Amino acid sequence: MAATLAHTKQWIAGLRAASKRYELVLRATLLMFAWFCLTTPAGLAIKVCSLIAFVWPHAVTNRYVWTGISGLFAWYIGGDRFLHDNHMYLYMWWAFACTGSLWLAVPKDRAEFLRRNSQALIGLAFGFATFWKLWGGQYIDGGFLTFYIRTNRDTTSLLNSLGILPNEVVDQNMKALSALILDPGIRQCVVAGTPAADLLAKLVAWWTILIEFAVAASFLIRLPLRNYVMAIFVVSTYFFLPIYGFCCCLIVMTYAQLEGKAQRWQMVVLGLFLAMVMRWLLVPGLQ
Amino acid sequence: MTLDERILKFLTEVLKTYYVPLACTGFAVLQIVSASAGVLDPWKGGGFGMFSTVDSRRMRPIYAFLETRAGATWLPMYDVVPPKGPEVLSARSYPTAAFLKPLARRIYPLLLNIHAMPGDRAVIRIDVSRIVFTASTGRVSEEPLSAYREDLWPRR
Repeated sequence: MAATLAHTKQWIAGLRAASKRYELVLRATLLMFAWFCLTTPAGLAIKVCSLIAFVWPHAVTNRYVWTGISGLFAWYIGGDRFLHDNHMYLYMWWAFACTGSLWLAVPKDRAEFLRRNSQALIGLAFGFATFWKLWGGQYIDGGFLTFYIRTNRDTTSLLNSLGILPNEVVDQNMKALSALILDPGIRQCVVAGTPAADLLAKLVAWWTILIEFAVAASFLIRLPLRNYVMAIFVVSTYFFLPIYGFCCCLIVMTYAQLEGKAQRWQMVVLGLFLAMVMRWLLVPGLQ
Repeated sequence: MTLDERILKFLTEVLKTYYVPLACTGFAVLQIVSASAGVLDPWKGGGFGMFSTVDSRRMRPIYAFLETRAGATWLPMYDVVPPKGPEVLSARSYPTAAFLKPLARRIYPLLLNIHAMPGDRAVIRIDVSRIVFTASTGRVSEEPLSAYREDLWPRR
């Protein structure tokens, strides 16, 4: 036990070196690609390449390997770009950034290249997400989240156990919605809710807009408190919603943008990742 | 170094360091324009519009009909096309003629037992709608989004 602890401390101390942190980011990225890419032919090719690069010595920082992975992503996304979710696009941009760091920056500047790109990408992703929530016209009044809570199982158990929205109501709503979508003879239906659930939807909508705007602004302007804002966002969002792929990508990118001297934050981000994994594995009932 | 050279050097450095965020911005702006002005699913296409609107691919009913002089007959599309196959998913995400036409072609096996008489006219029609939710009443209704028609007899 003491030996393991000493080894862990030594490993953590080694992360002070920029090159070590840089390599850790690349390894975490490869593992993320191997885990989350879909099983289409291109997705499988990315999975296999990422796994091989992860275990093969020196492949982690090989620019040709990363160029290949980026090319596969371009093939994967470009093949049917209207079918892919945001996190797949974010993976692709992140793969391009990792590849760019190996080609365009000298070894001592690679971590800095990734740091700048991760800050910009996080800022942009959250900026566009905030824009959509304000522009779409269904979010700020709580309309979208009211619909989501009434017709989705992701939050059912939690709301049911808190007495906010009974499971049976959600089940009935989902049946009605399913009939509307599949049966051409049905043109409308009603999905029921409760005043408490509707109020919660409004509060969550306002909170989400506020925190996403705060993440976007703090990362684009590079405010020192950006790490706090991101930690609050991750805990307040992904503890309740099981959106694993996007959450992992955000944690990896947040780690990549930390400055070398921010030792405490490196530990916080790694701890945050472990906490999220534990939450998903051990407390599925909260979904 | 002249001012022009300094500006050029600065721009080159910016492009070299930030080419990925710039590409990301380009794609996102294109997605926002396509989804706002057209029929693209706001959740897809790299514009970060997920969880912002009810209108997502999952909430887009899609139906196929055979239109003849006798009227429109609903076709059980999912008997021959997988509901989560690329044709259906693409048609729901971006219901333009380019994506609805391949889906219409996949439905042809459903029409094998239908015999046309001379002078008959038959059209295969695919309707895509989106869901509209009114929070105050809880009412969910369909709103037409896109339609595609292909003449079966006589062929054009």
